[in-house]
Amino acid sequence: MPRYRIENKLDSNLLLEDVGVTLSPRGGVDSIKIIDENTFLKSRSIKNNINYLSVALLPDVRKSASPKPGVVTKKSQVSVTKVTPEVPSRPLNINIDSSPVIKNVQNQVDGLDKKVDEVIRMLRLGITIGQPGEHLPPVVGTKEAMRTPGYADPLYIPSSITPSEVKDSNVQISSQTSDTSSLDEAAEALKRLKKAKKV
Amino acid sequence: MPGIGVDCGTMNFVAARRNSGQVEYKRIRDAFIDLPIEHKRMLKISNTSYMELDGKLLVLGDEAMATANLFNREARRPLSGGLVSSREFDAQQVIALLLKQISGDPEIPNEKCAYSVPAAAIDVQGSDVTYHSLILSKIFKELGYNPDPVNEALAIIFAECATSNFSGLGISYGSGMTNVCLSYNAMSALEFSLGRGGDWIDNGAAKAVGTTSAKMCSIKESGIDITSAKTREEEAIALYVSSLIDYTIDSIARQFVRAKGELLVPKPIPIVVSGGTSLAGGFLKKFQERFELHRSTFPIQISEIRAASDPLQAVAAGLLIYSTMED
Repeated sequence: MPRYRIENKLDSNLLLEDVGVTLSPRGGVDSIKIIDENTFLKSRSIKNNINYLSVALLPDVRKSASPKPGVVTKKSQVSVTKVTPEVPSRPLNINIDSSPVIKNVQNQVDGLDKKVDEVIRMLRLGITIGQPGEHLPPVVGTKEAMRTPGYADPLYIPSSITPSEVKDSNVQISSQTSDTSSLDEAAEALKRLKKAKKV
Repeated sequence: MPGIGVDCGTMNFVAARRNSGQVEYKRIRDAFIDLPIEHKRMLKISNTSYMELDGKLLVLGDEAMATANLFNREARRPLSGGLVSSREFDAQQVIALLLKQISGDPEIPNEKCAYSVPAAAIDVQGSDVTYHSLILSKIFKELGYNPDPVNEALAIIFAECATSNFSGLGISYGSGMTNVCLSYNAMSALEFSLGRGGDWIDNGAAKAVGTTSAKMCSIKESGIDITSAKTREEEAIALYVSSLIDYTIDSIARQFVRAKGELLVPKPIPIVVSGGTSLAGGFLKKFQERFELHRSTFPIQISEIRAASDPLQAVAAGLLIYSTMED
């Protein structure tokens, strides 16, 4: 079964509630998860947060029969899942003939070989879903984050936090009062400073 | 103009509000313990206040600590490392209940509520305060307020640095983390936090002498003087306090040098030290001593180093000042 590699693109945690994982901010150890196709396709959290995820399809991992000695097949290379440096295309073992027909066939075979190598390379890297150079949400401070529409969408905020039905609410709180004079002076000074800045 | 300031710390929640010509501070320990419903009778007999929620008993605040000792359990802390955890929904509910207790109802609809938030920690991988801030904002909205997040170290500047035109270096030594803000003319020029605070001291000192961090915490809060430690435990605490102070001063210097192209502090500014961890006896003296060792290489001219007038309430006071400012 194909598997998907999902990576958090945000600088904040991203909770995928129905998958049961919280992806740490991008670059973090837990910012990447590998999930199976069923989970990926059924997850509403992933669909809702797709803009904040980098998704890659990983090639199917199956045990293939061991190749016969001396025979190297393309299929055996496709099953490698780990990203490794690109393997240079091997020269074809064809006897070179000076005949133009043979040269033409050889050129076509070379072209096909390059295409196959490109497909293998793509499979090894995973096929990236999404546009190249896709715009990422900017890194913003707390206040800006809260005021930028849409930025907070991927974060899981419960619809209601404060419990409404609490019985026997009687909690001891320590209370203390103090003179307001120093506070008033500070407040006045801050007001003056803010006014001066506006002017 | 009405308004309320709420300091949402790892160890304490403190609300400040003007009331009949005075400032009223309400504080509650940021801790809870949940017990099965069968213990209700016992709690009633012992006259322990509790709440009943979803078939469980919740003991909140200072009484949670005493009840935890009674049942030989650890009280739970709804904030972890200074931040709301996204994994513990019941902890978020407890935060809401605690904040409701100290904030009360708004005086006017949509009353402004300035609440404290830390800056992202520079030494914690993936540190992010967005979720924390959003959850607190949602709670205050549910309570009927108009919430506005303010950096907690900047709030110290608002409360303590009027005489220096709100220029200064505010350092809040909390339980979960240490927050730093360099303010110039009431504008935050540099703010960051460190993932070390009172809990880090307790844990480190406990490991050093082979005991529990809860015990080290109680020793630390029992009024020891870290400049004249008398026992092994006190020496371990003093060592970790010194280490935290050095770490803070080094981190400020490094962060300032990193941002030096964008920062210009033309005249000497004060350092104001605040937060519950700074209440340990001799903390300010130790800070002054350690700073003198770094003064020659410190990138900012410092006019004085002083403690906040009330280290437990300075953040809430600064937030109250900010909340009464017109937008």
